[in-house]
Amino acid sequence: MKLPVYAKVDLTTGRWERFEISQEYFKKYIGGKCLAARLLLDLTEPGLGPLDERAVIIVNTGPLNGTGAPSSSRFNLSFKNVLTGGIASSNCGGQFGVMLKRAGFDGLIITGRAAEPSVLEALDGEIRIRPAPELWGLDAEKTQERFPEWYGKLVIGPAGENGLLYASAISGERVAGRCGSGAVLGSKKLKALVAYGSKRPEIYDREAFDRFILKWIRFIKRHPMTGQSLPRYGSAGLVNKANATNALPTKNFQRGHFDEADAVSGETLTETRLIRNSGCVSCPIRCERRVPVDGRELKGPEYETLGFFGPNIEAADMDTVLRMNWLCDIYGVDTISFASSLAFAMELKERGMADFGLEFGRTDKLEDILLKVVNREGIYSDIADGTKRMAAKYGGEDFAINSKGLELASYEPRRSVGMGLGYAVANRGGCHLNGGYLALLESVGVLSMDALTPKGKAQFTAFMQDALEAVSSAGCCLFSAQTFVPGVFFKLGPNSPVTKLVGKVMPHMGPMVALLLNITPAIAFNSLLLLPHAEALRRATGLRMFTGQFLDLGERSYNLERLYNLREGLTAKDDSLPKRLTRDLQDPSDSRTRVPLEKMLPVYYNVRGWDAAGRPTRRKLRRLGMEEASK
Amino acid sequence: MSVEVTYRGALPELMGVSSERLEAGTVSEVMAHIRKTYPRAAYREAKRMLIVVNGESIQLRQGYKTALSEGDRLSFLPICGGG
Ligand code: SF4
Repeated sequence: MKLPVYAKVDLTTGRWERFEISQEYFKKYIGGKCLAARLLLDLTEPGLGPLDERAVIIVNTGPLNGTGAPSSSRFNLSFKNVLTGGIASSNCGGQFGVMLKRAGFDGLIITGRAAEPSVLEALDGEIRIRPAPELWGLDAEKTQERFPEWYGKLVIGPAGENGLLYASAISGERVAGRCGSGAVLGSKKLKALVAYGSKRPEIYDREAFDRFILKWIRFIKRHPMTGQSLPRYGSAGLVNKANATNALPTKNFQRGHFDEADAVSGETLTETRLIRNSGCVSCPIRCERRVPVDGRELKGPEYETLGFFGPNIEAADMDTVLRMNWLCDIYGVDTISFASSLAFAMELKERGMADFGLEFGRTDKLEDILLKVVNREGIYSDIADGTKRMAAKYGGEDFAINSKGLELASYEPRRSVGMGLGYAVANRGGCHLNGGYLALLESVGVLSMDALTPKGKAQFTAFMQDALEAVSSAGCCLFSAQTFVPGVFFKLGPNSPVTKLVGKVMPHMGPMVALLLNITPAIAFNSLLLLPHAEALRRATGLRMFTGQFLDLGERSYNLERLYNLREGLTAKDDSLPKRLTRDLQDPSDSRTRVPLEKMLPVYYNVRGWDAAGRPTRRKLRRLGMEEASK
Repeated sequence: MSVEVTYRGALPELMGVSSERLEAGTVSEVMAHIRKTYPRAAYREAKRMLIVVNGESIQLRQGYKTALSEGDRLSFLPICGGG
């Protein structure tokens, strides 16, 4: 079994050293965000600011990255979250991860601050830091053009240089969007990281691995979600679905439905703009949209971007969304946090609390304002700090739509209360994926688990979080896990009595799901239908990896990140949502249309094996084999 | 009741129309119309889709029994995913 090799780089001194991950760590934490969380706990001192010179950012891969496994080019960035002060993990589908591995490194542990704008080169087993002041000020597209086409690249745009708290990092046209990775790299004066090499990742049992991968790819292609829907509509297809269940955030989450949403829907995008679909390296799903922007073929928007530059600011202009999506990407700005901050600014204006020249329904000034925010001009610098800090200055905490400081994704949780729980407890802040993505079961998928009941939501949230953590740590895209909803439901459709019955039964399955999470050692089998990633990992690494161990990996990851948050001063009080979502009814005639967090949180802590203050108990940590991680 | 029905996803290709005006009192009657008028494959596909009346899923109303009023707008939309 080959152990992962990282490079530990100090930008202040310009020195680097090889850093081999121990067998114990590899077995327990595998790679990606799980291993990165453990390393952050080990290698950083508590209380350090995210932009401090000694802060650490880890860019790493999982064992499946670059192996040819489906959707396995996703790499991870973990660091102290610039918006929340807790942990951040951000996932990206560009070529950088695969090339980093080919260069002979499974990850980079970066600290220090370069004296001038620099480039980190990982080329054929060697690391070099070289000054590159000429790149500073360039956008992400132009920066990447300065390097050979065949290199894997990870760069920041002007937003990262100027310290936008939600600045992103970009690899090709793919983005590590959330939590401010661009700001961390910018603070280190690291404008670009490039990687190239010719090493092939080692596979424990190549023949068996390849055989399994072929089977898995066939399965993905045959599944209605990953074989038809995602390639045809991308995530953009969710706009109309969320709108139809009142779960589409509208006017800064004042409502969940927008009459004109179809103008910015996935169907409209496919019917009127789509040139072709495309995807990350080695992905059979290919959910990426290729669309025309300014006469060029570029990457199209995801669901979140359509929702936030559309209904959430009461606008319905597809061309504006396409352009803003592109501009945010090249300047290195997270579309979710930025557009959500715009919606908050619009509501502040509507209530006469602040005036940034922004109004609901108007899109004519957005480009201009984006530039001002990126350059931190005057009051626009406040928008660069996100909704939590804006609310601290101007008021409006009750409708500043973030959790822990990270802006929520585009699912209105008052019509998907399990998603509300997920947003509140997610380690990186208001993220749907880190929150377990229950919206898929409650309001935007083919199944419709009662979206308004708190029943069963804590258990399903914990289960889904663990599964998604593990998929990500393995090095795969979370969309590859969407095959766990059996294809038969898509064939039957959402209105069939069978599908409806399953939706009705699901809230009552909470105790069963909790039991499942407690008997993971007994789940000693793998199945294509559940989490095929476990079998691929087993064959790639030679580790004993069955579905039960795979879920344990996810649980370890979730608890490690929680431990990091607790160490940095976050508490159960931070597992919260703005009052608009927990107190105000979305539909005044229906008392269930709010997020009953107070009912779900204690059950969730209990299911997780945490105490009443949301701290992992000693018993839980012992079971996960990481008691020492809490010290 | 005269209602406006829009077909999205794979339906226009299977049916040869992308929208039409119909007389129907419930969603079931619209389904019956599709079964009678269009190829079997179109009906099968329609059954798998998300059906929306005036922007709201019939799952939030009475399913196929959802009553329709004069001028209602019905859409058949594909089920999507992602996140
Ligand atoms: S499903 Fe989409 S985001 Fe995920 S790896 Fe494939 S193309 Fe990339």
